[in-house]
Amino acid sequence: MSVRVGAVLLVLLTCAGGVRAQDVVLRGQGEPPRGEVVRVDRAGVVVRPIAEAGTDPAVAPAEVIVPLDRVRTVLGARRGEWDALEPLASALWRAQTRIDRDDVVGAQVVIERWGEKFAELSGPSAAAAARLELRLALQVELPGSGVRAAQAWARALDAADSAREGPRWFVPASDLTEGMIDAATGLSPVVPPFWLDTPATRAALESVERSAPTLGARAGALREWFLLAAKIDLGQKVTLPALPEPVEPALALVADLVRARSDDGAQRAEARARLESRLIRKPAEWERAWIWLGLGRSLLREGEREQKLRGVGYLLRVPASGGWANLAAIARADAAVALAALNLPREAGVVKGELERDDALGSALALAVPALRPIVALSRPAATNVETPQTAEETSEAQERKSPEAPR
Amino acid sequence: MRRAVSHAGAVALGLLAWDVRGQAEPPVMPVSPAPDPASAEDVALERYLESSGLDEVLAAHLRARIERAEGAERSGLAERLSRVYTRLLARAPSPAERERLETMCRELLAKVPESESLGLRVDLARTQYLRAEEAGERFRLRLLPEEDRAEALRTLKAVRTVFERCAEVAGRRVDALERREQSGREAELRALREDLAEARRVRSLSRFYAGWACVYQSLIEKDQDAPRQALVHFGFLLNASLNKPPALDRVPRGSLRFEHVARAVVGVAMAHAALDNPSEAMRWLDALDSAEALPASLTRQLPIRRLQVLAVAGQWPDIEALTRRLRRDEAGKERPLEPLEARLLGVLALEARTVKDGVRPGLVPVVDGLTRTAMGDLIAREQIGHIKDLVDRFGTAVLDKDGFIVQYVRGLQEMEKARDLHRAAGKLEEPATTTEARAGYRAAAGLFASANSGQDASRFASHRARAAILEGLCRYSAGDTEDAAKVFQAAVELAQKAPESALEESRSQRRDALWYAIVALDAAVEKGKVSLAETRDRLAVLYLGEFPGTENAARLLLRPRTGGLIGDEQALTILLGVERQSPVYAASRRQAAVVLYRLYRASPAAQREFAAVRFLEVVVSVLDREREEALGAPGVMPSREAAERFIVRSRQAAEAQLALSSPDTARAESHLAEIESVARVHAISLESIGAEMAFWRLRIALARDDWAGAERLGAVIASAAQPGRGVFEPLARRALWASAVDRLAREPESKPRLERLVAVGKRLIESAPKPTGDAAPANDGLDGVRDATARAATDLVNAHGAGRELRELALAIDQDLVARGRATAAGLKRLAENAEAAGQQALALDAWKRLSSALVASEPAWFEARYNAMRLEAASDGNAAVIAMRQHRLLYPSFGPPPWGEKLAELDQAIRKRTGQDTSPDVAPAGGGGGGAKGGGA
Repeated sequence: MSVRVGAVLLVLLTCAGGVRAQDVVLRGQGEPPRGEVVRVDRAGVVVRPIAEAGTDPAVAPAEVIVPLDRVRTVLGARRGEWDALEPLASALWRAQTRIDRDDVVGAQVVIERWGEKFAELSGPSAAAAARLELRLALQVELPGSGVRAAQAWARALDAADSAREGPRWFVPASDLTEGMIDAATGLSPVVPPFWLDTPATRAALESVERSAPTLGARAGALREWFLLAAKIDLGQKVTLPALPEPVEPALALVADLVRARSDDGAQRAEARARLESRLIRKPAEWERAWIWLGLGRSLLREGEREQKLRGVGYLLRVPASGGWANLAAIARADAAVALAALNLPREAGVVKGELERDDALGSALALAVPALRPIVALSRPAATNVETPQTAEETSEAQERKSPEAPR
Repeated sequence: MRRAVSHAGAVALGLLAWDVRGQAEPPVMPVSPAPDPASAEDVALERYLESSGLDEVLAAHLRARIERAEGAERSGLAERLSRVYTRLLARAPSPAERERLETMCRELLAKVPESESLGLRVDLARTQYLRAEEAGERFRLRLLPEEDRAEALRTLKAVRTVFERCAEVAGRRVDALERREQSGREAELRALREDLAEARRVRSLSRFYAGWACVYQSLIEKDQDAPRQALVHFGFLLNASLNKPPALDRVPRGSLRFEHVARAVVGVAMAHAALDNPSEAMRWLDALDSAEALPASLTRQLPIRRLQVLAVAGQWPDIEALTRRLRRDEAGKERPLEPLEARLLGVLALEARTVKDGVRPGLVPVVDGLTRTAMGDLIAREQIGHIKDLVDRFGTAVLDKDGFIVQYVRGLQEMEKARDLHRAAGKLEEPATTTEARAGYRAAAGLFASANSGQDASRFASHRARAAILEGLCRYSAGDTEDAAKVFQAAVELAQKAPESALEESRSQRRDALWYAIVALDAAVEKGKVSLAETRDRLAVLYLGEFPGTENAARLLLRPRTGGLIGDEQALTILLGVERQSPVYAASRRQAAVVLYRLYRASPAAQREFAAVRFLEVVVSVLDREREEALGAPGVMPSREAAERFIVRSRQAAEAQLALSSPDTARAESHLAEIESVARVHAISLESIGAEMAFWRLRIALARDDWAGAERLGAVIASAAQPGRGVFEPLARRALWASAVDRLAREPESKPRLERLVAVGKRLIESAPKPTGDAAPANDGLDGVRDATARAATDLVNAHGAGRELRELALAIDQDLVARGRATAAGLKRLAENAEAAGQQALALDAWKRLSSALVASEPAWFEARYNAMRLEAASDGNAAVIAMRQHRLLYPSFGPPPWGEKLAELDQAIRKRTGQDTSPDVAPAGGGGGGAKGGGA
């Protein structure tokens, strides 16, 4: 029995029960919103619920918008509009099911074909597409090269922001962006504003700069500061703009992280002071990890060896556990390169060794970052026991030992 | 040096300041350190940095914490930092690095003077001592400028004072801790003992270096008090009575295996030598010689120390014997002394000859012989600076000014001047272009020629080839390439005539001369002397045969002009023999990989695995290098060209890896992952090799028994947008088929495996080109696939109750095989059985008939086919069955062997009963139809 026939049967059965037919048939489990489909477009399928008998007509129940990927079909008068969008909706659903079962290649094939169309979505459908693209980008992009991930996050944030207006989302924005956007700040813990200078980042940045997505005020401003961060990290000259008043907390954090590695020494010092004061206020774990990385990178920009070493200390605080593996990989890559530049090849090798050992992404990074390539990865040193001369009497009692550096 | 030593003196004075601050000794720190109010994050970071050996970072972190800390916490942090500094100083890789660390140590001592830091103070003094010690050794070789001598002496005296003071303080601390240990509580004992061990360590270290500082002080200023003090210090380490010189019989012999004890014994010997007591010095050195297990670092040093002691005693015949021993390697072959050994021998011999009555008249020839040996070995080691310095310092009084050495040295000097002119005007690798440089080179060449033609040249037989090579190089640089080639060829001959004792050296000279001759001839050919090409190629073949393991052999193979002189296998031996350190190592490996891949692709199936293994062994290191070029290094942009090369070679590596009978799938997968990583770095599109990549992944999945993954990849390859699909799609289907067959063979009754085989087989059959029009189907090589697919489909129906579609599939396939004339006996039987089961009696009858026609009569299978054919005929056409049975009975009156004979007999009865006709062979059939044997079924 085909899907369509099944849907028709379902409608007939429902009618037989004397209840108003559902115009929307969902994919998978879940009860669809009951009511009349009043709009089908790139944001989703909008359903106007039927008011219960006796309800005040002035208090009309709110319209509900279902993201396209959740809809199997639409019946009734809007069927024609749905048919036009059905291939796009199916593609979105198919890509999501593929990535759910870790079929990255399969999902990528769909996105390559439909990506441009996905970018034209809005509302909850755009959030679903952005979530999908972010998940994919996190799997295929290297830490520190995740330009696609950042783009996807900005779109998701923008879509989530748009949920404040228009029909109620059938799937709440918080569900659609779960694990991707921190509800308190709107930032994505897995998309930090830190980049590594690789040919891939450079190529991606160029294409991102050429594109000009239409974003709302918050997402647009954050996107701009993320781009500034990328340019700084790729060694380009930038002019940092003033923040719009009132300063939005997420933007303030990102701006401090970017200013802490700007070309202006005074600006860096001020930003570091603000970041350090944030640490005192016990921020969320991901925010703390961002700040450590930000302070580390900032200090590496200073001229003095001592400050650079302290910067490395901050970088090595970023924990590889707790879901911040990408961030830790970037931090360790930075630390290894900095130690090599400080003429500490053994130390650089130890950090690179940890980078390669801890995470498959780390190994990929070790390949992708040119400055990491010449560093010879080492394992951690064994516990050392510095041996020194004893008197002959003491020696005769001592165990077999290595001897000290002694006159030649 | 002057600045460094002055600085060293200042450091030592700074260290002394610790004492003059009025602190008789630093306080003994409490056993348990003060509580450290560090945050949990600080503690975690410090633990991590400490366990990872990231001491520089840890030091910076601790310095930052000290800035904020106060009181006991500050002292505790300073103590920890001083321990980190001690570790850092111990492994400082360069003098500059040590100096930087010392500055920080001084800052710490100044900033936190209340900290104990005794170990740090000793360590700092030790770094100063080591520099002064180096100056002392240079003084021994007469290489220390006079102005640095005084500075070195000042530093030695200063650090000696520090060591002595630290030894004293540490000694008192040991006493105090030992007293506390006796009355200490159990809980404190462990920490107390650690502190005690540290105090003892510092005490011993201080005594050790104080002793050596005294030895070098006495060497430089001939002071008699310093060596006496040295004996007292060393006595402390060598079990002497308190403040007494050591006695050999009190030293536990077993302790000599410890390097610091053995080195203290050497120090005692040198102190006795400084006290003009060479016989006592020799006794101590002899004790080391007879030690059971002397540290390896000392075994080479001892003869040198002995040489010095013997020179003090004027025992030149013993020095001559010792020199002979030193000039032999472990295998007993002669070799020149190391440069500094030769320099020391030269200094000792020449100094003795220039001092009035320095040598007894009878020993002069011995000493002069030692001088020649030293000079000859410096020539062999190409130590022009030392030779010139010795000649300048001691004159040519003991050397013949027209002899080999002087001419050779003058030749070197002229050559050096010409090289300066050459360098100023052009590249040294190419012949000089200026008249002055050319003239200089020709003059130098003349001097080398005259060194070789001098009267005493025969006494320097092992150095003549070297002189000839240098002459050739000068002529080459002067632009006289043909002359140079002749001289180099003469040098080849001279090297062959070298004495047997210098066999190894002469072989290397022969190798160099031959190579230079080839280079010179090549240059001459380039200049238009084409007639010399034959000689060049002859010498190149000679070189490749005689020195195949050299990098120049590889260079010859890497050149297009000489690359094809030898076969693939010989070329591989040479290319793979190039040493890792060689500059042509990478190019040789790459060329070897090219040759090996070519051989792998051309190898017959039986040798393919071996060829793949050989290729893989080499390609790994090539990929390592190419990856580096592709991804770049600091200051070097990643090379896209190298990335493309890397991708091609990784594809080859993946292919060879998967050609193995037991492929290393992880390795193959990592090749593919690296291809993608490198492509990602350069944004190289892999679209054109998408199908190929998917194919290798499919092979990996099959090797891992991941059938679902393989199927999915098969679908990816088959998808329309995959370039390269034309090649890899059939390969993928074949690979899936082979795997399905293999898996079914392991579990022939497995339903899922049967189903897989049918699915894959069906796809493979459907992919075959269909015959056009009436053309007979071509042999597409898929008959085996058809047969196995039909068999599996039938098994699924019969054994697993599969549906009608599969039987129909089997029928269709078998009918196709019949139509192609490719049906097997088993296939015909299967066709007949399936057809009958499907109610297609005529088809079944036809199949049984075809089978009986194809089989040899009298086989059991033939009787089976006959029986079934007649059985079916009886059901449809009684007369035909009667005729067939008559024919059968004519040939087999008793119907045939069991079990088919019995069945045929039963059938015969049934036919007779049903038709009412007699089936005897001699009875004519009812309804006509001609003679019995006419329709013969056999």
